[in-house]
Amino acid sequence: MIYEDSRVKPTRRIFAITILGFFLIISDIFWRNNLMYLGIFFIFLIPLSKNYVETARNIIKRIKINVEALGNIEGKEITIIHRIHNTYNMPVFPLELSLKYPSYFKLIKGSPGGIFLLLPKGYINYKVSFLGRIGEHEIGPLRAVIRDPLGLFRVETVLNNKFTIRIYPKSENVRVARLVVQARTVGLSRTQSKGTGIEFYDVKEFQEGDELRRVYWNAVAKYNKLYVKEFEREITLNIMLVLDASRIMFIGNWGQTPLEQGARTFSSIAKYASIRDDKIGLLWFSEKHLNISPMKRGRVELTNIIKILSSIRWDMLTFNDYDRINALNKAARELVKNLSRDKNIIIFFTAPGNKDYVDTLIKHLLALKNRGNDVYVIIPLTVAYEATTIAEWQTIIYRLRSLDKLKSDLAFASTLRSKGIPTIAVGPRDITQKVINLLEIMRSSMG
Amino acid sequence: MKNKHDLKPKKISMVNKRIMLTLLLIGFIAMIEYGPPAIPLVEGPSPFNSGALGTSKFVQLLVSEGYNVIPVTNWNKVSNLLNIQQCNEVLIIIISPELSYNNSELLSIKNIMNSCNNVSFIIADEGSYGNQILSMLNSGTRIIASKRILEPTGDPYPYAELKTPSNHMYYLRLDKAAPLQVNDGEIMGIAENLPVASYQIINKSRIYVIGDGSIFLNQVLNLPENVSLPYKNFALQLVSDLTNKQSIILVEASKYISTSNPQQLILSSGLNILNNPELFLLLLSRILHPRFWAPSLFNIINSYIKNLISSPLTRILIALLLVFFSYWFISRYIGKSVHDLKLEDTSEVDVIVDTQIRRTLLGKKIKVSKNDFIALYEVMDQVIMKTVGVRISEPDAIRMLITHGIEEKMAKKYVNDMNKLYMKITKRKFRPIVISWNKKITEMIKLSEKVLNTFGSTLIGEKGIEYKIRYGKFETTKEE
Repeated sequence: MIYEDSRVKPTRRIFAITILGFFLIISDIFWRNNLMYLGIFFIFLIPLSKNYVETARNIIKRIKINVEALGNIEGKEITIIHRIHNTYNMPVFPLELSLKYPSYFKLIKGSPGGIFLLLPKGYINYKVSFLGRIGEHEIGPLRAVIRDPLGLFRVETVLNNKFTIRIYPKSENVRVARLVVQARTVGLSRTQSKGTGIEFYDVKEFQEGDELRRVYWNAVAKYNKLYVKEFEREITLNIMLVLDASRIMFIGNWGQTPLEQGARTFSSIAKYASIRDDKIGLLWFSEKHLNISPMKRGRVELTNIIKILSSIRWDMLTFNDYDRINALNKAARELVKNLSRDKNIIIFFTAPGNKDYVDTLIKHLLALKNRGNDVYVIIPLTVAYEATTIAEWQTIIYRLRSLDKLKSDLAFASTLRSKGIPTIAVGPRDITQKVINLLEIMRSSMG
Repeated sequence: MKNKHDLKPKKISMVNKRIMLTLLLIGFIAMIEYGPPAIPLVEGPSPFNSGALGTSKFVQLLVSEGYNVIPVTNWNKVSNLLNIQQCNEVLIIIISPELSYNNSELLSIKNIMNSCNNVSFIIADEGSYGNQILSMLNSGTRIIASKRILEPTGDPYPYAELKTPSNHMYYLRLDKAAPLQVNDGEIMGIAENLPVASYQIINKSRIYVIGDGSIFLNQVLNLPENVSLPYKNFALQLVSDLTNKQSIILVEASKYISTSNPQQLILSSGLNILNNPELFLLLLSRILHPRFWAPSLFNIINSYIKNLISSPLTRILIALLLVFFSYWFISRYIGKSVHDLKLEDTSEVDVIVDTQIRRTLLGKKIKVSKNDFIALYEVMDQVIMKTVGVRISEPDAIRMLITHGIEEKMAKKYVNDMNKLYMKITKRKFRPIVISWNKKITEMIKLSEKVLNTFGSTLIGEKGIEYKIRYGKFETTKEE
């Protein structure tokens, strides 16, 4: 437990009780009205109360706290339990507790604070549940105010320092499964050569080295010889996802910001890629932070990507455009270091910025493209992200008055396209679909 | 790295300032309560009295002659002192004691005689207390304290012929001397035919008695040399006859009236404080002591407050002032008070970063403007162009809209109204006359929504017009 050195401070109530106490004493001296003892009693309450609060503070200083965090998926219940154990034989009352949590969370169960009685040798289970959002978040500190029963003195202290929780993106599993089936059904990913795919291609006699799991038992029964199934080879891709997590990506309603949609989409794409046996990596950058998961294949990489996405920081600070440009430069350098030597598909999810940002972005994207990579930019249409969850009439006016913004977003996309960089402007409704379609088109073109 | 401020030496108060002040207050009250320390200022012929009636000069004289002189302030403790020092030969000098001896003191003196080999006495007294010693020594000599030897003129300053045990003769003037009754000793001095000095030896103890202590006083020994010399010589010869320089001389210093009040001493002894710096400092210290001035000050304040609170109005005012002063004082002790507020809860935000437009719209009653219509026109122009392939301002617009499922009547009204209003707003046509722009634009928005719904888009819903116009460039609206 980390303890903040706090002093016991008198409250404004002490003014009333002191004045009353002295008034009674002095009135007795001057008018002999026998109120002296009552006055002394009131004055005596002051040191008594102060001592009570100091004692309670010393008890609180030595309490034991266990913290437990349950749940780690965005949009689902995240429960934080503080178990506060009093090791002394003296109660602490009233004990006001308040838990600080990210303002962009939603409290769904419990109260962010309250007045408690900490019994001697007893404990308090302080439990609150939130709806969390993707990324790394700080919970706490758990602050406490100890008062005497009359509220003459108070001391404010920190019971438990802040700690970090990570919340993972919710993958769109159903949609991904549907898209995989859809991709195979329409034959986007096939090639006319045998390989290690899952679609049936032909039957051949068993040869040494063939996998036993591919033995075609029906043919064995029929011809009394060992036959194995051959499958179509599927084209696999090297995909690098780049997610801009700068402040502009936080525009939008609860759970529907471009950043969250992007993270969710990228998590779904990672799942999709792991099914399709693609190599996939992810990099996210913000004005202050950067994290990368290098390109790999398989379910382990899916887990890595989800972990990387859960490390996105929600900096509630204000940054300028230059911070963003610097972050982009740094991200580009990291990206180049982590690309595969083969052809890579780089999907860059970023929001429009000022001219310098656009120029810097184009410079880096063209450089990547010149190295033989396929580069795609996905830009969120900010208007589409913001126009949700407000009243109908407000939505209309919002759309009309945001026309300049829409034009600017489209101009950004247009500028990128004019430089030969394929750009897709997306809203929250179809981002995953668009990206997977794009990948499948790439796959088929590579076949 | 430490900054400049960290390197500055910090002041650390070992004792709290408040505790210091409280202790000072307690000390002040205690000083008033207990008064100044009782400094023994002796009035009579004490060796500690440097005044005219003291014997400090005589003691100094003995010390300068090389004698080991000890003034005795407590006879009960003198035996301890003698145990430490060698006690072969002792001379006890008693000059005009002013207080009587008690039995334990007399016993102590007797013990000296028992423990030391050779004890001699000089008793110079015109009062009765010297007789207690003589009685204790079993001497038959007594001082007749009730009587004074007078000159024929009646003055109490007779001349006396005094002889020391070594038979040295001295002719000295006495001051209020008492005659002796000599029963078993040798008369050593006579004044006006009365015995004034005697000498006898009892159990090895030599006892010299003289009925006047003034011979040894400062007022005599401080006189000019030619006058004081016989007195000094007599005193030194007498001492020399009764002891030697290796012996201890005990001088009575306990049986004199002492006072701690210098004023009284000045008054009683007639001392001039300017000639006695010690006395002056003592007087000053008493005047500075709170016991001297604080009670008077408190009395003055008390009487002033009494007068002040005699009126009910001033009494209330003073009571209130005292109350607030008390509060001020106690608030200094307990510190600055704070608002006892509830701990701040986290205020949840729905949107972390929102645009100014959205913020302005939320929670407001919205009134549409001409600019909103221009935006609507531009948006619908884009949507229609990207859906049906013509601009809203083009002649084919109505036909194309009908082709794409819009009712003919509605298509005509919509296209015509949109174009007319746009022309009017951009000030290229005067008509139509619009009374309420808000109403008109609202109507056009509703119509636009119907058109968009037919095209599978919306201005209201989640998947809005931006999805429809996101591909390609945003074309500039054509001017007619």
